[in-house]
Amino acid sequence: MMNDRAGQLMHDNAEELANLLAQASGFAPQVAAAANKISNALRQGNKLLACGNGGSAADASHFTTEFVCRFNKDRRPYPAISLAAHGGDLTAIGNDYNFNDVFARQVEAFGRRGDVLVVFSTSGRSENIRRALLAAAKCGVATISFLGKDGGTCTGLAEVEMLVQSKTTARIQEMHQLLLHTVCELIEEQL
Amino acid sequence: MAKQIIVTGAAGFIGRNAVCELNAKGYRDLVLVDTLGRDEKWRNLRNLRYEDIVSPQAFLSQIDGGRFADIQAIIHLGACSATTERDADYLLENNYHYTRRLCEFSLSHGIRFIYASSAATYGDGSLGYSDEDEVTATLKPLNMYGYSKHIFDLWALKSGALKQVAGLKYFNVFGPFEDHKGDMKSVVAKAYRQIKATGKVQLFRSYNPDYADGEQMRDFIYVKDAVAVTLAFLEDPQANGLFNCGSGKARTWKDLVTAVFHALGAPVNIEYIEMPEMLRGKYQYFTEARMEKLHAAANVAPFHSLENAIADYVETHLNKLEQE
Repeated sequence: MMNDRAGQLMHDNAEELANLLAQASGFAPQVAAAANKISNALRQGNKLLACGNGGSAADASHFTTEFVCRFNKDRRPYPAISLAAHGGDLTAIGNDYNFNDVFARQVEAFGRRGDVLVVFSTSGRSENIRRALLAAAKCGVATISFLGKDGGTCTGLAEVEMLVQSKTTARIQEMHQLLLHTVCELIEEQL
Repeated sequence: MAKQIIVTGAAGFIGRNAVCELNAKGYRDLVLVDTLGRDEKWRNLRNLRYEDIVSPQAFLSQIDGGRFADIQAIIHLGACSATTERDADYLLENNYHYTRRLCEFSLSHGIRFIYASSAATYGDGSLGYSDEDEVTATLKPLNMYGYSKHIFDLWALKSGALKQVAGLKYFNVFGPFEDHKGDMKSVVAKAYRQIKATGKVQLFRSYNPDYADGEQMRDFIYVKDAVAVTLAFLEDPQANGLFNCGSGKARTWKDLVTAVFHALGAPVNIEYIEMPEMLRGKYQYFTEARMEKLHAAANVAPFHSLENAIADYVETHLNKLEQE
């Protein structure tokens, strides 16, 4: 009985993902633009910042790790900071100011002209992500967004936007992983 | 002594933003030229630093009398900008003859001259939105405002003045300090008010089968980007000619007001209403500035996206105005 249900779910989810994967090459221009922005910034000695909430927080940390450690090849490390990883900063800003500012305030603290901010939001409706993008624009930090659903209130705020048009959060996150890995692969070829 | 910069229309929308940016760049020796009338335009002057302010007529007599001996540049943004103004003689005098006198004065005194033309010169858009000189000569503006701007462009083209001055055809400019403009305010400012008052925004329904309701498109440019373009021509006196000043990317009314809802954290609620009969025939469904000529001639930073611009406008200006 459990096996049947598992089989059914695996089939449905794989099919839903396959439909999204079939459109993946449509993201080529944004993937190329994102990779260019990041590799140019890193080459010039600038850094990468990333943020997201929940599963997207994990994606943000996953992404920065590919730079601080490595993706495929053995190469020098590059500066990349996940803004979703430091419990002290997150709880202090959330507690003293507002949870909506947890990322924006860190962008103001760490972001310098020439840096790049990468955000993940499967709904595009996270106010703390929207504010992070606005703060980045004010600091001269370039912006890349991984979004889902209809892009929500984050629509149009990033210079490079990858919008996975699905209603299922899990599938959006799976697509975000494919996109972020491809961005990393391209960057590593360029660095 | 630093050379003086004259800004006409300085209390107006683009003028006020230009003076503010000049101040930020360290320019202090500014003479503002404008009339303040009886509306709230004077408020735009608060927080600006300048040497003097004179009326347009006084400015003319003063330059004729040689009082301004050390002018570096005239940024001529002043005009009657109401597309509904019916007094054609007034528009002719104010927008064409006055501009021509300032331009001739500038050319004979080696002064940098930058002036505002308008996207209204393109008329119904059937001839496209190219700022190339061959196209300029053929344009047919729909209203007297557009025509008054066009006559000057034509004179500047024919007389050769355009080889030594810079003209800018501003598209749909929006942003801080347009509050005094009443009905000529941008839809961003109007949508902000509507959302605050009723929680929804009214947009005209489409009467063209190629465009869904709210999908009619315009070239919207943030005033901060329009000012950056304008001042790029101050910094590079060799960049001359007539140029479009738009974003180069047409966006829908729906995108525009959606961004206002997002900036206010309010749920998107758009109501489509019938357009008055008299507007339907003249209504433009698509405007988009060709920007190749400008980008080849001037060095300007990347523009704000529509959404970033609206978020900035709402946070830095409209919300504060609300509290005032």
